[in-house]
Amino acid sequence: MNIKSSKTEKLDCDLREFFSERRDVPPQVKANLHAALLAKRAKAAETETAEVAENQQNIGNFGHHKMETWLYLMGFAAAVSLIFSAVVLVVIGTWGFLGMLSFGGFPIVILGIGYYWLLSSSAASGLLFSQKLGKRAI
Amino acid sequence: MDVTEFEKFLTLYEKDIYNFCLYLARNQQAAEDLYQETMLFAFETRADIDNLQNPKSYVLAIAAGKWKNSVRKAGRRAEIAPEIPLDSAFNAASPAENPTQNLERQELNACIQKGLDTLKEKVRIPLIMHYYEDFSLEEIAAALDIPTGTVKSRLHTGRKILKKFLEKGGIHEYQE
Repeated sequence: MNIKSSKTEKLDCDLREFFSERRDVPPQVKANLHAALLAKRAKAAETETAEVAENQQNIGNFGHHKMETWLYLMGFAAAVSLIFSAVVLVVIGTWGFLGMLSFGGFPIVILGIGYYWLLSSSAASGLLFSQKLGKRAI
Repeated sequence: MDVTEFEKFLTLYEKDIYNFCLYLARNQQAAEDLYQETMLFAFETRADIDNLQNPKSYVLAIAAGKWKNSVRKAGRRAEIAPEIPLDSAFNAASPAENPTQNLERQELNACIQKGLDTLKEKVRIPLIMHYYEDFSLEEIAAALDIPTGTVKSRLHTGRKILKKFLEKGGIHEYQE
C-alpha cells in the first residue's frame, strides 16, 4: 500500500516537473497574432460601418414606404368623398328640383350645392395635400 | 471586455496559453496555429469573457475544444503524415542537475511523453490542465463542461496508464 502511494506521489511530482517547462511565445508568433487581430478589428469596423449605413437606409426606406401608404389612403379617401358627394348632389338636386316644382324646393337645391362644394373642396384639397407631401417624400 | 482589456489579458496570459497549446499539440507548428486560432476566437467572443470569473480557463477550454476538433479532422491524415514530436529541448533537464541526473530526467521525460501520447484526448486534456495549469477538479469540470466525477475518473485513468507505462519503460523508481 505504501509502495503504491509513494509511486503515485512520485508520479505526481514527475508530472509536475514534466509540465513545469515554459517557453516564451516566439516573436514571430506574437507578430502574426498581432497582425491577425488588427485585420480582424479592421474587418469588424468595416462591417459595423456597413451595418450602420444599411440600417439608416432601411429606416429611410421604411419612412418612404410609410409615407407612400398614407398618400395612397388619403387619395383613396378623397376619391371616395368625391364620388359620394356627386351621388349626394344628384339625389339632393333631383329631390330639390322636384321640390321646387311643387313647393319652395329652391333652398334645398342651394343646400345641396353647398354640401357638394364643401365635400369636393375638402377632397380636392386632400388630393393636393397628398400630392405635395408625395413630391416631398419622393 | 473591450479591445484594450483583451490586449492586457493577452499580455498577462499569452505564455501560459501558448505553452498549453504546445503541450496539447506536441508540435511547434501545430501549436502556433492552435494558439493563433484560439486567441482569434477568444477575441471574437471577448464579450462573453466579461461574465466569467476565470477568463484564462475559458481560453484554455477554447484551445482544448479546437484541438479536439483538429484531432478528429486529422484522424486519417495522421496515419499518412505522422506528427513530429516536440524537440527534446522542451523537456530538457535542469542545468543545475548533474549529468547523470540530467540523463535520468531526460529518460523519464521521454517516457512520460510517450505515455502521454498513448492517452486519449479526453484523458490527456484534463491531465495537462491539472498538472500544467494546476487546475482543480471543479475548474477542469467547468472548463470542459463535464461532471467533476468524470474529471476525477479521467485523471485516475491517466495516472494509472502512465504509471504502467513508466513501469514497463524501465524507469527503476516505478518498478516493483
